[in-house]
Amino acid sequence: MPGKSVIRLENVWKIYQMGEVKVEALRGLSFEVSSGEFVAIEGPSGSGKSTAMNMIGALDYPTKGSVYLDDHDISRLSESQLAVIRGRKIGFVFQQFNLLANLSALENVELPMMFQGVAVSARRERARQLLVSVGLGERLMHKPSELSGGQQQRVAIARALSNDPEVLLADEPTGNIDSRTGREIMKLIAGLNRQGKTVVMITHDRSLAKLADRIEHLKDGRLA
Amino acid sequence: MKDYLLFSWNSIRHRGLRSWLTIVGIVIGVAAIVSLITIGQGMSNAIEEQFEKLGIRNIRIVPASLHGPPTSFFTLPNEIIGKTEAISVVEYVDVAMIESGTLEFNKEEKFVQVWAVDVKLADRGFADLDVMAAEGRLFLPGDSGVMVLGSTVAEEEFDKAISAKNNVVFQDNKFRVVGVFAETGTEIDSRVYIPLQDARDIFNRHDDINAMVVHVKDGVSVGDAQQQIERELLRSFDDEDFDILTPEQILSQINTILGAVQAVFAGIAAISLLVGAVGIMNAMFTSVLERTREIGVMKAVGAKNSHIAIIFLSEAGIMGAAGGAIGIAVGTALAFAVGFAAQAFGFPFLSIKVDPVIVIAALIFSFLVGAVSGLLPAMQAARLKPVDALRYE
Ligand SMILES: Nc1ncnc2c1ncn2[C@@H]1O[C@H](COP(=O)(O)OP(=O)(O)O)[C@@H](O)[C@H]1O
Ligand SMILES: [Mg+2]
Repeated sequence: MPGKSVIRLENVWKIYQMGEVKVEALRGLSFEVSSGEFVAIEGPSGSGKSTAMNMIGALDYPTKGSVYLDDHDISRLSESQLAVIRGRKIGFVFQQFNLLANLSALENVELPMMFQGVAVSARRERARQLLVSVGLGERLMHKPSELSGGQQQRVAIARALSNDPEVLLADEPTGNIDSRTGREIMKLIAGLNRQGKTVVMITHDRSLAKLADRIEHLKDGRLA
Repeated sequence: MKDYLLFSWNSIRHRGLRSWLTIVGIVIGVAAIVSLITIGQGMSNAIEEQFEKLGIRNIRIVPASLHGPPTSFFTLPNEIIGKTEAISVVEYVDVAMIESGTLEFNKEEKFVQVWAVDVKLADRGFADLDVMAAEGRLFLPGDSGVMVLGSTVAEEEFDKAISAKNNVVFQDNKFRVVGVFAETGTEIDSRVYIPLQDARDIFNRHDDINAMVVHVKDGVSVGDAQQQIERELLRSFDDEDFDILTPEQILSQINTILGAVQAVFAGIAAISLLVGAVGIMNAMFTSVLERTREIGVMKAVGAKNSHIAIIFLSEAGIMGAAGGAIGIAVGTALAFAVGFAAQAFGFPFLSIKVDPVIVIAALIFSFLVGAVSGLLPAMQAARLKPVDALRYE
């Protein structure tokens, strides 16, 4: 049941200055995601998918245009205000998992809660519950290097959920794992969406994109 | 904050030995500081203890240009004794002539320092110095040809211990030992004492002495007494003839020497700390570079710039404190070693103690040195753009 607008991009441009050359990664992208939706963004390599995700996820500032999160323009907030938004409202899942190598699965999931000042005992318990819910109840103390790719991505999903964000942003979450495990990860994400989580997922894989409510095609920095 | 310290500790634990080597400078610096302070304290404790034993209310009059303990070479004229005794703040004056000579006992000969004192006053002077007879008695008015021995001379110098009533020969003159001093822990232990008149005859010195101890009347401040004595004596003597030393002045003379030694140590400490600080800074820059991607991830999951700065600052601080902890251990061990060495060389007074205040202060200090060294790397880490950091390979 799609509801109010959670994410809205209005004529967003992102231009990277590479020495002499300007790279226009986003060229007037406009785009909206409603609460509870599952949107897949598809497009060829270099079409600006990751850049778009950086905008949605408050990781970077647009060169031009506005980004609204819950109808607030976040493109003019300070770095530390953006950090708070990333910590509380966004959950990132990356292609390369991006777990901290020195930390156990449990500590990795605790990390976003630590930055929000959640007390140790509370965050440890929540991290444990989240890891149980993604099927890693037996792997709490394992380091990332002791886990398979699929397991690492599950830890990353649990970490993304730790501060109960409004939006889960996944950039090619199955790109680094085999296709069978990839389907399991997709089921996990689809299940989270059924429980009400808004999901924006970037993918190459058409068959995986079909799980989404809506598929958007990105080409040369704007929707095709 | 505790969270971040634990977090930083965790990442330090995963570092290689190479990074640990960078704290050697901190170890040496803190070791130098701790041993310096600990030995310095031990020394000044020892010195003050000595002075307390020698009487804190006594003023010494010594020949001018004397810079160490009194010796036979520098002399005061006899006339100064009477002039000093006549000053109103003076209770009485102990005089000493210092000589050395051969002491013969039981067919053994030893070279000893002899202090010759006025037997009329000796009892009182010794009592004021808290020196007592362990055996026999001290001097009586009219004594001649008698000797009182320091405890080391009596008990250790000769194969056979000398006791009261033994006869000895000093510079070919027969003496009867009438007493032995109780051990004092000071130089007195290794001296022998004889009546002043006997020394004048033996060494043919009838016109001078080597030192005077002036006992100030009760209720008069030592400083005031010193000024008055100086004023009075300058009427009859030249200021090149004598020096008046209060215990404080002697202490400050010694402290000047200590200060020079301390300056050298402090220099070593400063250089080592600088080397250590640069080492930590370098290690932290490397760490920031190696963990660029991690920093990006932490920012993506909600870390503010300040969180990142705190993580790297506490990491640098912990490295500093770790170096400091080792340095404290090394420095304390060094101080004890010096204490034992001093004992072996005959200075049993250097009392080395571990002062918890110094330990805690050194830990905090080394943490701060580390944190300050980590300031620039931490700022660099904090300022990384999340997107750039995440793209870093
Ligand atoms: N930080 C950056 N600096 C310079 N160019 C960049 C940067 N990030 C992305 N680009 C360029 O922008 C374009 C879009 O990149 P990206 O959003 O990563 O595409 P996708 O994720 O669809 O493969 C590409 O040409 C890429 O090289
Ligand atoms: Mg991409």
